[in-house]
Amino acid sequence: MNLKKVVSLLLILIGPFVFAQDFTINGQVKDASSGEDLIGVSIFVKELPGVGTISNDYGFYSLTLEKGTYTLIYSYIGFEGKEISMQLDKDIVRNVQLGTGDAILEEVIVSAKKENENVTSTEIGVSTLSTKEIDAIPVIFGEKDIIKTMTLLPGVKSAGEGAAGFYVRGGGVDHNLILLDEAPVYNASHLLGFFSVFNSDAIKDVKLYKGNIPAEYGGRLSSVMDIKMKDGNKKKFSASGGLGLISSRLTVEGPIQKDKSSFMISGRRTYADLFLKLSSREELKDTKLYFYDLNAKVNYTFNDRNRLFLSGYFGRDNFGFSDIFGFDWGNTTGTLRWNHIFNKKLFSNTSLIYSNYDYKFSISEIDLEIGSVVKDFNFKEDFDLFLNSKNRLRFGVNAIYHNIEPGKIETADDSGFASTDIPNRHAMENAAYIANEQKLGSRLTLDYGLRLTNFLQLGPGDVYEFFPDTLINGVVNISKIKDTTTYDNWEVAQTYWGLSPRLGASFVLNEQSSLKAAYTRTYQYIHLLSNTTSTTPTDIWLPSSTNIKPQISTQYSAGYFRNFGNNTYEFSVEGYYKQMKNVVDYKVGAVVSLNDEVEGSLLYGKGRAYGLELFFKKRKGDLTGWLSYTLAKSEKQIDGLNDGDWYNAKQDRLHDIAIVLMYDISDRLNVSGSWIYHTGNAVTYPSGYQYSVGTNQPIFIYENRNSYRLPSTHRLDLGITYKNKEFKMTKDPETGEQVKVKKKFQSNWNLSVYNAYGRQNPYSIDFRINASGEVPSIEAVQLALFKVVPAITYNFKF
Amino acid sequence: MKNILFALFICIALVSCEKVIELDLGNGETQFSVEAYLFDSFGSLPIPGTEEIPFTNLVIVTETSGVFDPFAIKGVEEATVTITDDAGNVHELTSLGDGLYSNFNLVGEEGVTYTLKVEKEGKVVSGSSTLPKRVGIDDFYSEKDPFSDFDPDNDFYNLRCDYTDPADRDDFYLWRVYQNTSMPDTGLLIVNNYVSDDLFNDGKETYTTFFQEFFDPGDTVTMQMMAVEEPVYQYYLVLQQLGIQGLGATTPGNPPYNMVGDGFGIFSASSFDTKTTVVVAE
Repeated sequence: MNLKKVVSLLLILIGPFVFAQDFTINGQVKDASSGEDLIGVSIFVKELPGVGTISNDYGFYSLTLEKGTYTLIYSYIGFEGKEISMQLDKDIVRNVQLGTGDAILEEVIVSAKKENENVTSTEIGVSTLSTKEIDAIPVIFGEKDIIKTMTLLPGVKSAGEGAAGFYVRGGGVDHNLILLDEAPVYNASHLLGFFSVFNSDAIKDVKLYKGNIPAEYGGRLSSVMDIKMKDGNKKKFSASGGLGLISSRLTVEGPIQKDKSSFMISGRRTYADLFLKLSSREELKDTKLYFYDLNAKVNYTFNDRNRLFLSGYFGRDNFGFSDIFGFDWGNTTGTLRWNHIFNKKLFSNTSLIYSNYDYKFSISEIDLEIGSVVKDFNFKEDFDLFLNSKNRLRFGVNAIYHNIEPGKIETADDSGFASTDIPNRHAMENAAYIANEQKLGSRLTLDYGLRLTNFLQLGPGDVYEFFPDTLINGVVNISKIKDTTTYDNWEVAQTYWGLSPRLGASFVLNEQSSLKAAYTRTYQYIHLLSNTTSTTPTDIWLPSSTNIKPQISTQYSAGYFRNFGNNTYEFSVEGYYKQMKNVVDYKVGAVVSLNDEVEGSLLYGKGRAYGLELFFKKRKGDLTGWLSYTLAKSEKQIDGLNDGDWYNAKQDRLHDIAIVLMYDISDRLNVSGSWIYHTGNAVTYPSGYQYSVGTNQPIFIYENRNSYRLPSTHRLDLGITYKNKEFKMTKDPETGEQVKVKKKFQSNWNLSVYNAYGRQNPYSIDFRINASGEVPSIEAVQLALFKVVPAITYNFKF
Repeated sequence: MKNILFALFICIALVSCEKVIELDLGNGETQFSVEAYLFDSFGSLPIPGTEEIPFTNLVIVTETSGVFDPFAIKGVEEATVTITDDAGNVHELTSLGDGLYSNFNLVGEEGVTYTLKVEKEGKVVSGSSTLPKRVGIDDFYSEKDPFSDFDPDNDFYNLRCDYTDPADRDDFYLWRVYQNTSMPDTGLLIVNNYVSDDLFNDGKETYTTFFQEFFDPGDTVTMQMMAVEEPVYQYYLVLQQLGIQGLGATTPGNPPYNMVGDGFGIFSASSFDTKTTVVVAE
C-alpha cells in the first residue's frame, strides 16, 4: 500500500464527519496548586456517553459538539474531578484547573470519576507510574528511581544488578528509546547501572510504550519511554529535596512572572567517594567516584496561543585516581519548544533538540586522552488536530542529524603512542507521520497511523567494503577491508526507507471490560555496540551504513482489560508476538571500542520473542499494590553463531514475577515492600577444556550458546516512610478558635532495606583453577554483588 | 583502557561476594587439541612436570578433558607430526614423550609459510602459519609505578620492555612474562600472557609495560617477545578477552583456531626474543 492510497483511505474514513454543524470548546487543563499542565486528563460529556477527549502532552484539549447544553466532566487520577455546565451555541475557550483538595481541611476525597480509562482507551501495552508509587517503592540505596520501579511492571525486565538498562518484550537494552523532554538519552544510567540518570524530583510524567507505539515515535525497535520534566510552579516558590546516605538532591521551582512564566532547577550529587577520604589507605583517599545531575527548565507564556519552553539536562559520572588518570562520561540534552495554538482545533509543537553523550579518559603521565562522542541535532514538528468528537488527527515531521565520533586518541609525540582519530560518522534520520484516533460507534475505537522513515548515511568519510565472512571450525573470522570508497561532505553513501504502520483497536465490552489489539512495525537506524555481558560507558553507538542494515521489528499484541469493585481493582492480560530482522551480534574476538573496522566484526540475524503478561492491581484504599507476571521467550538466530541454530537471547527469561505492596498504617506512616523473582539469565557454560601449556590455563570449549541458566534471582525490598507532623494548631484570626493548618514545611524520613533476606543473587558464574587441593582442578564460582543494603533518606518540601 | 574500566568494576565489586557452587555440565566428546610453536631461533616454554629445554619448534598434542576433571595435561602419544615448508620440504617431528614432538634440525625462516599436520589413527588436524619479520627487544628493565607515591606502605614496580615497531605494516606481538622462582621443574612461573598490535604506535620506538603488584625488589623476571601473524594474535586476543570474568566479561565463545580437522589447535610461526632483568629498588 503506498502513501497516497493510505492518505485517501484516511480521508474517506474521516470524510463523513468533517462537515457537521458544530461548535468547539477548547482550552488548557492545569494543576490548581502549581500551574503545571496536566497530561491525559479525561474530558467527557455527561449527556453523551462515550463522547469525550483527553488533554495532550501540554494540557491542551478541544472538543467539537453539536449545538446544545452540556455538562463536561474533567477528571484525572489523584485529583478532584470538576463538572462544568455550558450552553454551547458558539465556540468557547475554557481553561480548567484541577486541585488535589489539599487546601481544604477536611479529608481529601479524590473523585476521579473516569477511573476506567485503562479499560476504555486504545492504549495497549502502555505502562505508567504515579509519583506516589515511585516515592514509596523501596530501591537500592534509597535512591528513588523511575527505571528501576518500571521494571516491576509486566513485560519490562531489569537487566539485573550491575547492568544498565532494561529489556522490553524480549528486545535488547538498545532497543528502547528513552526521551527526556523529547531529547534521546543515549546512556540512561550512572555508575554502571546502579542508578538511572533521571532524578525523579524533576520529573512530571513518565510513560512506557511497549505494545502499540504511537506513530509520532520511532527509531527504536522495542519501546519508547517518554519522560517529561516539570515545568516549574507558576503560582509560588517551592523547594524540595532529600539527604541520603550516598547522595543528596534539591529542587527549586517557582514563578518568574506569576501565571506567565516559571522555572525549575533540580540537582543531585552522590558522595560515595567522600567515605573513601576516611580510608587509611592512601590510594583510596585519592580515588574519585561520583556522579551528578542537573535538570533545568523555564517556560514563558506569550499569550493564549503561544508558549515557549526551554529545558536541559546535564549529568556526568566521574571516576579517577588523583591526577594519574581520570575517566568520565555523561549526557547533555537541550530542548527548545514552541507551543502554538492555530485555532480552536489545531495545536502544534515545534521542537529543536540537542542531545549529546560522550566519554573521555585520560592518563596524565603520558598525556593520553581517549574519547568518543555521539551528538544529535533534531528538529520536530508535531500537529494535534481535534477534528471532531470522533476523530483526533496527529501528524508531523522529524529530522535528526547524527554526528558520531567513534573514538579519538590524543597523545604527546614522545609518549611511544601515536594520536589516532577514527573518522566521524554522519547520518540523517528523517520521518513523517500521520495518525488518527477514531471512534466508531460507542464501543470501538481505532488508532491507526503510518510513519515513513528515511535514513541517509552521509559523507565526509570512508566507507568500507569487507571480504565475505569465512567460517573455520564453527568460528567466523573477523573480516578485512576489501575496498574503500571516499565520500565528500553531505554526499549520500547509503539510503534506506522504511514504512511503519501502527494500528491499535479497542473494543469496549462494557464499562468494566474491553478487548484491545495492536500491530506495530518499527525501524531502528542506530545501534549500540557492546560485546560484553553487561553494558559499559565505553560502548559505542553506530548509525546504519552500507554494512549495517536497519533493524526491523513487527509486533502483534492483544489484551483483555477488566476493572472490578468500582474500579478498585484493575486486571489485564496481554499477549505479544514479535519478529525482529537484522539484529546485530558479534564475531568472537570483536573489538568494539576504538576500532575503525568494527563493521567487519559484526554478524546479523533474526530475533523472535513472544510472551504473556498478567497484571493485577489494587488502586484504592489503605493497601495498594500490584502483582505482575510475565511468561516470555526471546531467541536469536545468527548465521555464524551457534551453528546457525536458534539460541536463547541474553534477555530470555521464562518467568518474571513482581509483587508490590504499599500500606498506609496511618496518615503519617507508610510501609511498602516489593518482592521479585525471575528465571536466571541465559548463559553459556563450557563442555570441556583444552590444556594450554603456553598460558598454563584451561581453554574452555563451548558447544551451545546460552543453553544454561544462572540460578534464579529473588529478592525482597522493604521501605518505611514516616512523615513528620503535617499540621499545626493555630488561632483563627476571625473566630479566635483553634484550627488545624497545614504546615508550610513538610518532611519525612524514609528507611529502606534492599535485599532484606540477604539472598546472594548470581551476577555471574566463572570458572577458575583451584590449586589448593592435591591435584589442581577447575571450580565454578558464583559472584553476587549485594547482600543486605540498608539506607536512610530525609526528604523535605516547602 | 580495558584495565581502567576493570579497575572501576573492581571498586564496585568491593561489596560483592563469591561462593563456589556445584554445576552439572555434560562432558563433550574427547577431541584432539594441538598447541604448536615454530621459532626463528631457540626459545623455551616451561612445561609442568618437565625439565626446561630450549627448542626451535615444539608441538604439544593433547586430549581435551571434562570441565571438572583434574587440571592436567593429557598428552597424546604415537601421533605422526610433520611440518612442511612452502618449498614442499617435509620435516618429521619425533616424540619427546608426554605428547611433545620436536625436530631439532628445523629452524623457522622469515616469510616462509609452514604447514603442520598431526595424524593419529586416521584423524588429522592441520593448519598453516607464516613466520613474520623479526622484531626484537631493545631493553627490558623495572621502574617504580607512579601509584607507589600514594601508598607509603607499598612500592609497586612495573616492567618496561622497549622495542622498535617496524613502520607501515601491521605488526602483532605475543608477550609472555615469567617470574623466576624455585619451582621444582622449570624454575619459571608464568605471570602473564598477552598480545598487542601496532594500531596506536606504528613505526614508533615504543614499549609495553607490565604492571603487577607482586613484584618485589630482587625478583628476577623474564620477558619473551614473539612477533606473530594476525590469526595467532586474534586467537590470543580472544583468550585475553575471555580471561576477564565477572563484571565486564565478554560473551563466551571458542577462540578462532588456525588448525582444523578432527580436532583443533593453534600453530604459531614466530620470531622469538627474550630478556631477563632483576627488579631494582628505587
